[in-house]
Amino acid sequence: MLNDIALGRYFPGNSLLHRLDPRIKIVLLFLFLAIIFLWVNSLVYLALGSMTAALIFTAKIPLRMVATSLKPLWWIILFTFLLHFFGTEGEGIFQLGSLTATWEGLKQGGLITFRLALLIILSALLTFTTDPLALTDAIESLLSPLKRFGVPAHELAMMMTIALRFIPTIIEETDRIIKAQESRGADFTTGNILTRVKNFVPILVPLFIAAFRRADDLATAMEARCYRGGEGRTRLRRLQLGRLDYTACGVSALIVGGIFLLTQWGII
Amino acid sequence: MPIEVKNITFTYMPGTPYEHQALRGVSFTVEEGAIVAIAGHTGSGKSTLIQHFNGLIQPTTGQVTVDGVDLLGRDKKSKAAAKEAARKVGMVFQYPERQLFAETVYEDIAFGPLAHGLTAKEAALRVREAMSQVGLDYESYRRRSPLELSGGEGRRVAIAGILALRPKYLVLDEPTAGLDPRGRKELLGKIKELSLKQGMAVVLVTHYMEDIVALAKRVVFLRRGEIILDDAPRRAFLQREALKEAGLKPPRTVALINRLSEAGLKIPRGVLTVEEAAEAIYQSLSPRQGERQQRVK
Amino acid sequence: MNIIEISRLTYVYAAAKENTPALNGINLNIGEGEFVAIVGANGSGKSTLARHLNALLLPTEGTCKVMGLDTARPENLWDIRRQVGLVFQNPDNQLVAAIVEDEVAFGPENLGLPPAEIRLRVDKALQAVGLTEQLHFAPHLLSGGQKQRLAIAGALAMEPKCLVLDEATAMLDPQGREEVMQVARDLREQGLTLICITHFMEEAALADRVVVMHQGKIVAQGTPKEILAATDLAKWGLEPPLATEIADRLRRRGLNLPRGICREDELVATLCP
Repeated sequence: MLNDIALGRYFPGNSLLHRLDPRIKIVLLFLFLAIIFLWVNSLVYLALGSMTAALIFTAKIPLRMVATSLKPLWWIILFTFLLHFFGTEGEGIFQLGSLTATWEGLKQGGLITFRLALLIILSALLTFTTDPLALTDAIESLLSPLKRFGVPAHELAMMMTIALRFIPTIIEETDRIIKAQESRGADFTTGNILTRVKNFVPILVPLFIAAFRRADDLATAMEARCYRGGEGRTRLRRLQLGRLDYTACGVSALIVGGIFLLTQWGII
Repeated sequence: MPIEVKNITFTYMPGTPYEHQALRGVSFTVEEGAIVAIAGHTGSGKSTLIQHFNGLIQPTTGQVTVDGVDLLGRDKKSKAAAKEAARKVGMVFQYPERQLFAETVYEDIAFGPLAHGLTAKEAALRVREAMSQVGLDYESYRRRSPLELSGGEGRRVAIAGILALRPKYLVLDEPTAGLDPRGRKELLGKIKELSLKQGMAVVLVTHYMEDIVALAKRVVFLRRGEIILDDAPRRAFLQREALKEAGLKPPRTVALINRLSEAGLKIPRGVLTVEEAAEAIYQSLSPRQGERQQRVK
Repeated sequence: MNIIEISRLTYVYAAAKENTPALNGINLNIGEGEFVAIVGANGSGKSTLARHLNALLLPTEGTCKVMGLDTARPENLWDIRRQVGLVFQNPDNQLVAAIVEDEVAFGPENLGLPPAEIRLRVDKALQAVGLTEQLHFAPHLLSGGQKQRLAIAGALAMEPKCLVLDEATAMLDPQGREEVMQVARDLREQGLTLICITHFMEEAALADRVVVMHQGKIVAQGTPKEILAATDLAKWGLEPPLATEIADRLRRRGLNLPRGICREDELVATLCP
């Protein structure tokens, strides 16, 4: 039951997007997210939308997974749309009690919805096409200049790696403990909120105990293999920028520059 | 009336790219008072199968009944009956000591009975009874924290927590994993006692063939969600093909006899225990040994 | 030369009630290239001893020296840990990385080796344990036996002089146990000093020397023939290997078998000459 989480799922492949340096992917993602935030403009969205569609197509991500990535935020998207649909002044379409749906609202709501979906899908594309480990390496590498300001780049990356390693194990464990306590007659579905919280004690206590034991074991195992923090540590894989990365940066710069000039000249 | 599994299939995460069929048409009966072992490689579907016995998971197709009651309740009334029937099946998971949560051994064992609506007085009785069944002294253990117990003690407390529900069928998933030889022997002894004295039916899931030799009258080999053999251990462990298919090794005694026979010793098959193995070797050797001793003379 | 020299070692856990020592006056030397099995029931102190061998625990009294370096001196710590690889019991709790090759690289990375050298060591270690094909797998998708072999590879990549398996097979199924012991034997052939902590007597029967622990003390040691086949293991909560038990029964029935049978191949060779 806890297995069907689509979040952060990686689809191995060899597309342009897959081969791009993860650091470049992160930087470009932030760039495009910023553009989507700053320019509320249907033509800009159309351009970026087609770019996203092209990326999904070349990376061979199943459309169903793209839809699944929207699922957790579905109600926010819907709510935002309705807010604009009914909340914008203009020519009415129909009446719902004291609320009036308007054409302007439909347009505005559609734009905002599209924008939200684009934000989510672009972010999901990063995790769909990037091995979580490469992502961790990239974050460490991008944060390392901030080390001198006290940002614990190595520690953050190590925490992410360990989390990635242990999430499947902990999900399995949780599943087993829930089933074990259910078999002893524990009930998690009835009663008021207070009883329900109390009913979770038989699950949470063993989970915490297991997590502490795991942490202790893991720390011992890491120490036994000479781990002593990021100082003096080298890495097996080194990220290196290639031609593809420079090309991607160039193309992105052209897109952004183009949009900027067109808006400056008032064409869109 | 038994636990009856009728032609069940089970599919994990249907309709997703991760879809996986864990059981493919399994039919299987646990008779009252029987000791049945289920053996199979990791991923053979054993864990999925036993979780059907008390309705933790429902089959994708097929039916599971306990004492004639279908565990899939369709309306309110049959749902209550299904719940009642599922309670007759006690389920001990792998490394059950990891599910202990209460502050004292007493409270942990009493959790099940109280959750099932028994009074404190009745629960107290059940705790005493269950602790004696697993061989834990009531006075010296009841106030101890489950956290400070050794692995073997913790496991007994966890099993007592299930026995306190007075199950008619006891399902144990790898009950001896990680125990040392003595702990293992003692626990197997307690399980045997439960079956003999209380007439409890026991389903044992294990990949330790020695546990099967020690306890079971019947063994089922599971391979990729299908039962490929269902027989008495004595006969089952002679089926080399089936063992190999199921990814299992015969018990050490059987393996030794096989080795001796391959080395040229004429030796009867179908032994299980160490005692039987020694006797079989003795019988097949004694004429030869006699000759040798005569020659020495 | 001795890799391990332990003298009068006593260890008391800080949290222990009544200050009962977990280890009580241990004396033990282990030579280079030796294969030593340390056996004992759960709670006999064998895992506590293992943790002294690479300075995860330090003696309360007495000394523990690894390659002549005293574990109690902080400046020796990293040299000691580099020389003694440790593999633990629980396969799920000792793997750090989310992918096989990174797991093996973890130790060499901590040593600060150049990437090309790490690559070489990773490939060599994975080959030694037969996991080359699983290079890009996620550890949680491996079987128990594979996980433990991966943990061994992680230790090997440090290029240690000595490998300690601390009940590394206790949580595995028979097949996984066999896989791990096969790898251990191969490594031993290549000259690695091997210390195997176990309560499976079949594993101990493969060693050069068996050390029996009971209640924090070493109560017996000698060759497998001397210990497994000739002493009453039951009083320490242990059982003799199957071959020994069968040989004993046959002797009691009047068969004239030589003493000291503790491995199945020995028994087969004796019975079917």
